[in-house]
Amino acid sequence: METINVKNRKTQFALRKLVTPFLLIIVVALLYSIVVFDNWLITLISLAIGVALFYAYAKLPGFKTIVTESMSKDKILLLIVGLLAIIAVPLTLRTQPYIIHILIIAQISIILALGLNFQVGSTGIPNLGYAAFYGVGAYTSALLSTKFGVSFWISILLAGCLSAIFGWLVGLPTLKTRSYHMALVSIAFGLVTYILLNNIAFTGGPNGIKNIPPPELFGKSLFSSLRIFGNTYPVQFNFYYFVLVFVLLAFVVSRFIFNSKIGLYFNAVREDEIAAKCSGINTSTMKLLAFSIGAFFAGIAGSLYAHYIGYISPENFNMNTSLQILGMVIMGGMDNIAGVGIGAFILSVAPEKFRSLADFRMLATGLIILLMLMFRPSGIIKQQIRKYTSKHLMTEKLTQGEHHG
Amino acid sequence: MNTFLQLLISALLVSSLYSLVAVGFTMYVGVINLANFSHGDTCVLGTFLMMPLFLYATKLGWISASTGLVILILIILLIFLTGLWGAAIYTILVKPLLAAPRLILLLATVAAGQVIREAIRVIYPNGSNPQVFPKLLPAGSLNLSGITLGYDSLTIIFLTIICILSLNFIIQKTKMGVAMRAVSQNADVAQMMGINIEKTIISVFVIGSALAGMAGILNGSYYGITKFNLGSNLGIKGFSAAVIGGLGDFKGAIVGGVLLGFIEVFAAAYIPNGSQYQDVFSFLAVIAFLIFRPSGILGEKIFEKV
Repeated sequence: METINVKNRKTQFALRKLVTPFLLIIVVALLYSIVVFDNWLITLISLAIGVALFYAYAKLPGFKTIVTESMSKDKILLLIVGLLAIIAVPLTLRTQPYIIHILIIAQISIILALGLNFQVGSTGIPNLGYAAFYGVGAYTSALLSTKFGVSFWISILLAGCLSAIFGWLVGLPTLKTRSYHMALVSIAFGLVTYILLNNIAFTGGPNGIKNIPPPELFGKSLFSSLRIFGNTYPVQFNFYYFVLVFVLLAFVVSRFIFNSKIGLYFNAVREDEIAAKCSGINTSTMKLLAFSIGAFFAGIAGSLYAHYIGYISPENFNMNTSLQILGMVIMGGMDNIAGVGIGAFILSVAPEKFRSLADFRMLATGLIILLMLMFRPSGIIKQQIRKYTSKHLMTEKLTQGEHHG
Repeated sequence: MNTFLQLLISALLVSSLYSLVAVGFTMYVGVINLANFSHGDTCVLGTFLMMPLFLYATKLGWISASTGLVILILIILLIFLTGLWGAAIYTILVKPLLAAPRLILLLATVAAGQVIREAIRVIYPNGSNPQVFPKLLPAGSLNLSGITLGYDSLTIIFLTIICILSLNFIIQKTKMGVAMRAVSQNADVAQMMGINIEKTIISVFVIGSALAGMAGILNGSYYGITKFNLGSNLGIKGFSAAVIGGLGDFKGAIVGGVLLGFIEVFAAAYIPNGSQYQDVFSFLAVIAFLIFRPSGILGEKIFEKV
């Protein structure tokens, strides 16, 4: 009897160990098929399988515990395999530069969505003119490099900073007002930026800015194709890795802020502003900070976009863009960094596969936001309530003990 | 002097359109503390419902027979339809989300506006382009010692005043109006006093949306044109007017609408290159109000209590 039991347990243990690799293979295969095949039917099937898996995860408690347990056990494995997959994908796409292009746009969207998440997700302030900050970044960077010949690295930094300053300024009038005032001011800022970009001659008016030079790395332009082992790689290949560095940085910074005290204060402001104030949190500073950080991300993303595409016009930064980014945050899961990344990825890649239905794109974005808010406001990945481990409790108890002692 | 008077008339015209939109916004905020960002798109929905109705009436030969009466009936029918739409928005969208955080509800109304806009664009034939809107208002103009008074602008101002007066009557004198005021002051106590809150909120949505539909068709028939995305601008202007006047205050919405209309028209006329930037001026006015007097002209200062 006992031997059978042991054997049973052993096989169970081995099976448990296989859960993570198995899930990884499925997820990677799904994402890869969404990315690589330029066929809407395959995308639809992959998305359907993804939704089914997700539904099973949400509704079957047994499945959920197995997945979460094994995921948390193999965190490092997940991270390594994920990174390797991200790095390896373009190597297989040497002959399909268009797909790498879609991936680069997805990467820029991820940076944007992570930035908006500070405001809408963490702090709970609506920002409906986020594309304007994106536009400020893109135009700053483009103007600096086309009209004044400033190098990419300086202009991207200035773009981020100027955008952050604008974020701070837009936040100012609404510190003492309610969320709908904030929504109004952000929409107004978006519209004003759009009108000004269209009417000022310096920014090129409706024609925008052309011939924005690509970034230079080690004295070489990123627009020169790479040759490795006799294979020529397309230009997009360079940009993919270039933007990837920024995306990873954005993830690290978001994670860092989320785990820091500031992230906690952001959430406190979202949950109950008055209670946060009573606990000694300077809610005004926190709101302005959320605005500035989010706008900084947008500025960086805008600069990357301008230098990658080489051409920008006011149409890239209108209300529709704002709503698309908002959709990414809401779909992925407000305040959940991984979720926001996934939402941004899906909402920027999937529409490219349904190009024949491009006319319905904005309608679909609106419907997705609406349905998500009505039926699953927490998004694809729900942000769990912050848990503090025994380490935190221990230090707390120790300090308390000191007081009493 | 003549130009000034001429501008005055057109400022009044713009003001009345903004006031009609602002009244809806301010009522929603007053009763359930919600800024319904799909309100502007309801206006445009009104114009796009009106056009097929008008076409159908023309086809039946009603328009040529007794124009004024038929158009009046059409307008009343349209107000009824948009009112119904308001009730639908409340029951489908707002009511299920009333318990959720306000941010969710706010974003949902923004998304609903986007859905209305894009659905119009996709469903209506050739919807991406501006559509010719039928001239519902009487043509011709009155010439008073050098000032041209278009009958259409006079009709719009007149109709707006009638709408506002009758709304004022409803709010001040009828049982429904008393219920609305009670709910906006304190919903819990109102419920204890036997007021049907749900019915009151629905009636607010019906009235607000009906006025929005009215504003939409007046706007459309004055400019003779309508487009699927006009609503976002009209909605933002209406909300700005409500904020300037003091959110939650019915008279404030009208004052705000008038102020915003005057700022816009006179800035466009007297500031060089102003017509390109007239939206910028009105938004600057709103931001100035939010900084220096966030409660608006007529609104009371609200203190948040723990």
